[in-house]
Amino acid sequence: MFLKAAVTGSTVLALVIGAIMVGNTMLLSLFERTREFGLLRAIGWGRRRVVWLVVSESLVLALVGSVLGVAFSLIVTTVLEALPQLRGVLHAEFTTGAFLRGFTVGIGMAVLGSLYPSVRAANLTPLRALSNE
Amino acid sequence: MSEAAEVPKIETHGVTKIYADGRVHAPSGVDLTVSTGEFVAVTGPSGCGKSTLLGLLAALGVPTSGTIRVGSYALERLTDANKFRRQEVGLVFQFHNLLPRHSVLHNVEIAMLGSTRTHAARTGFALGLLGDVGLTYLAHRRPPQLSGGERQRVAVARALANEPTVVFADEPTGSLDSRSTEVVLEQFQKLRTERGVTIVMVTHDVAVAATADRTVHMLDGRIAPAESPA
Repeated sequence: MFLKAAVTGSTVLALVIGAIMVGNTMLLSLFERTREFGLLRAIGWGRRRVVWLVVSESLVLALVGSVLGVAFSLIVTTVLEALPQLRGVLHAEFTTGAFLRGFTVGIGMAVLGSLYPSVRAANLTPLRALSNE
Repeated sequence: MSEAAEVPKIETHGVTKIYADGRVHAPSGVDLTVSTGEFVAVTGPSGCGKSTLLGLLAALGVPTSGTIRVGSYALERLTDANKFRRQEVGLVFQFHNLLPRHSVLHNVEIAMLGSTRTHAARTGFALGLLGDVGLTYLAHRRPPQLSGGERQRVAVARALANEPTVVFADEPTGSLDSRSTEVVLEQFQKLRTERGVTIVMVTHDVAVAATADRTVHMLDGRIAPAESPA
């Protein structure tokens, strides 16, 4: 019972940290690319197109990250299971559902984390963004 | 002056921009008329408001007061500034503002993404524009691999991607050597003569301004009374 609660708690914590990290990364990227977004707005890109650009970039990153994460989790779990110290303690079950959940949550967190940066990018005033050195 | 040049393309009345601190008024009460197909240079010292005026004419910002008309668009009543910029305006900046991670071709194509052209049509048109500025052979390079003059010519090609009726250029030769400056100015002259595009160019360089049809001098946010014909 305690172990299950601890696993659930650490999973939720990992998700929250993940979303914050995605948001932070996208925000940093936004600051670095302020002129770029300003330019896109200046040449006539609408807000929705800029939002979609930022969200789709984070989607691609999330897809790659999720694939790597699933592969990494398979390797680490297999290694941990083989450790003599954990033999009999750790019983990993590689179910399709578990991977799908991880994959979906990873992508969902990335989209959530990129929403604020994307709206900020879309709302940049072109004149101000382009004068940003 | 040609018949076409008698139709005003741009008209401003009392255009003023007051910044957040309330102290700087630049431009301040600017009245300006530019005819269709005219090439006008706007000169003046740093901070006089010439770049801000250009930005306001391109609907990149909103004036605090005054009216601006560009073609059939009254900018103070503009409901879709993006559409206006996409359909009517070409922009050239001092620092080209090309996307460094994208190819030269894609940098030109990207301006057409909101248009109704198909992907193939966009690519074909972008290649044509790069041909016009003599850079087809660099289409698949990235901007960091180009010289300053070449980048600015790509920026000119991008500015023409949506076949604008007016091009606003902010210090387009400010970071170029004399040869590249000549090439970019030749492009502007071709735009005017071959496509009938109206050009407003901000510059601090008297020699560059002399290539325009008319020079408007700004001082302390206002247009100086004497306008000298080129």
